[in-house]
Amino acid sequence: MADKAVTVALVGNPNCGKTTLFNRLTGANDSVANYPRVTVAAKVLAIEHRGWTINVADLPGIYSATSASSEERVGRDFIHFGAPDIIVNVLDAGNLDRSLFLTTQLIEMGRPRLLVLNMIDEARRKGIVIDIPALAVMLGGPVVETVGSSGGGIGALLDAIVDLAESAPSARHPGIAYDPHLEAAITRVRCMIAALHPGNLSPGQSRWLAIKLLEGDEDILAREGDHTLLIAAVGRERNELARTHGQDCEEMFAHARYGFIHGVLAEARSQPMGADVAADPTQMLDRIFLHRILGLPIFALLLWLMFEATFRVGSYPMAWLEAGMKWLSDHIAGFIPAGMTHDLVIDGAIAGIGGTIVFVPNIVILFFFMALFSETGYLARAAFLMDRLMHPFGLHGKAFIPLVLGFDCNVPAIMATRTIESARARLIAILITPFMACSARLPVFILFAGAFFPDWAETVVFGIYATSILASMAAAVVIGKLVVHGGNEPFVMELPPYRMPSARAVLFHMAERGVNFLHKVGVVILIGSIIIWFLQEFPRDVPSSRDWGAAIAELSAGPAGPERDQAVAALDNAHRQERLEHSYLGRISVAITPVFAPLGFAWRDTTAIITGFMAKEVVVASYAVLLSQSRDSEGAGLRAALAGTMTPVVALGFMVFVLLYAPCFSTVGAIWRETGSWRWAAFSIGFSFAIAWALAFVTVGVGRLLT
Amino acid sequence: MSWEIWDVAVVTLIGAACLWLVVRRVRRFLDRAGGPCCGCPQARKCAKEDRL
Repeated sequence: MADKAVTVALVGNPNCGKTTLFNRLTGANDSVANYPRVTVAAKVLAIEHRGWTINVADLPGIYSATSASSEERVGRDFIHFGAPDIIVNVLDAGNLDRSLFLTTQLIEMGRPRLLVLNMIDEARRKGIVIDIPALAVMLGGPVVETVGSSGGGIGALLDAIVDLAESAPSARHPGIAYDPHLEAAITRVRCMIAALHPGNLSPGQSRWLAIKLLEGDEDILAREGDHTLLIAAVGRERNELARTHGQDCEEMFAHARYGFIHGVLAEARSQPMGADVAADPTQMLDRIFLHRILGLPIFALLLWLMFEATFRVGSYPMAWLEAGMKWLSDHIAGFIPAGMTHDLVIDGAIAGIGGTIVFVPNIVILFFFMALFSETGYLARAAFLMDRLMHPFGLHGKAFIPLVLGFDCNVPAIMATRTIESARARLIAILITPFMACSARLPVFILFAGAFFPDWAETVVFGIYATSILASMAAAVVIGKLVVHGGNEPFVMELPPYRMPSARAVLFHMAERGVNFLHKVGVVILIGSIIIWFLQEFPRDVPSSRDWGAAIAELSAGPAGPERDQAVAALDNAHRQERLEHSYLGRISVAITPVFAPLGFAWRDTTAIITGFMAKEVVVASYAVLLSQSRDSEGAGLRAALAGTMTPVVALGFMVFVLLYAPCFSTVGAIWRETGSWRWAAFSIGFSFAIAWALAFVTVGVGRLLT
Repeated sequence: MSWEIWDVAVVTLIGAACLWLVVRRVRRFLDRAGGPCCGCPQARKCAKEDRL
């Protein structure tokens, strides 16, 4: 009798050949049939191999670890409460799409596991080729091929069990990244569970319990029934998720798991184009969208179409809003007597708000497309393509999850990196997120592209977004090679099945972004605009280089005509320029401007850059306030006024700079919190500033050479 | 009272209010700096629900 013992549980879907395998392993002769649910209770037999006693438990076939039927409860309870040392997950090699669903739940249980690709002979006959090492890495456990009916691979399976028993426990969790809202709910429920069961549960166990509760597992809900606060909180979370996503929690978990499976199989399996592939729309569409050659051009084309629509369709409501803001400004101007209050309200608050609010339609349209891409499942494919593109550079795609979320806002994108297990990959993801063109930067790009490149504005914005993606990739490589050392972690990009988008979810996403932007306009941009106005208006008794009043009066007294009017306007403008340059804002900006002189930026641009640190939308508000006196109306007037302040080449350099320079106030806070160190927040500011300056310098330099 | 005096009073009041809002925002940021809620857009909602 061997003195070392290990208990293994054979777990798998009904009819995947567990009992055949059990009989082969133990020499038993239990009844086997080619239909599901032959086993209805756990049966345990002991065998010996390489000096180990292996207690093999044959469990009823289950499709999921959520207790729907009594057999599923038997299987799930044996795994979770019977505590086998090793889980042997038996998979039908010819039907991995379905078999791996249970695997995703076993991964979450965090037990040491071994995967058995049973009936591998049948899979090969179908022309299916499986990359075993890749599958092992992505699923976090050894993989063995067996043919239960002939006993093929049984020796290798026994060896793998003993090897796993002899090795240190390392059930590495490759991680299933759920929707950020779902992850936030899991974290909140997990914290409550940890507080209710102090010291009893590991973080992995409390996470599993939180997932089961959110999934509505009746058995687990009944077990935790005494904790009324917890049950009530779970109910609230489920209702809130259902309200915001238009689908049940169970569906959300299932979609994420199937997405994970699809991602694993896209990497590790190739199969011929058979009837089953042709009948599956997801597989058919993936053959097009994930095509090795066509995939990226299709992605680029869709991005370009998105910006084309953002510009073309957005230009109509934008014009209405511009006219509305002008009407409002004119009417309010009529009510307030001339003086400082008049200037503060008209040239400060309304100019700043009006200059920014006109971009709400563009933002809403952009997010309509983003929501459409996300809801249909295409966004995950885009991230998958990026992941594949980065493989030659030795960098895995998990660092690119913020690539997708960062288009929205950098702060939740940085928070979403919590799903990345590897500290190195997470730090890289946090540090590259600020390079993603968040929606706050969109108004800047639309304003500049419209002002300097009116004929191909959408192509310029598309180019800026492409630069954003490329810069984040380059930054990931640089940070990975030079700053954060270490090996790469295996990674699975979840690929959810394609779905018809839900109108409710798309509208909710658009409304959320629109309201978010309006909230910023009402708070940050309003305050920012007023402060900029104060700084540009004071001090009022600045020394003059000449008596401007007398000079203007002298010119005005001359013979009337367009030349006189032009000369008076030029003199008036020069007077205003001098006053602005002597204002507090002018003095601060003039002091900093030498840093930006090689890029061709003037003091006004420096001001916009400084204020943009508060929030990137304030860049537009800054120009709106600074140019308010030299333009006739909002929007189009702002573009026209801006067009005269710099050359198109410098404008392009400015767009590149705004795209990449220091993250905003909130993002710095998020980096500080998530890395736990102000040093990384400071590094992010310095690193992004250096990259932005260098790339803007190159853009302006090359542009000047070409023009 | 002449409009000039009102004018100065209104502008001073608005300026002071903005300054106060900025100082409050910066103080909040520094209070949470490095803490679990630093930069979190949900922080105010959590504070209202007494979940901090």
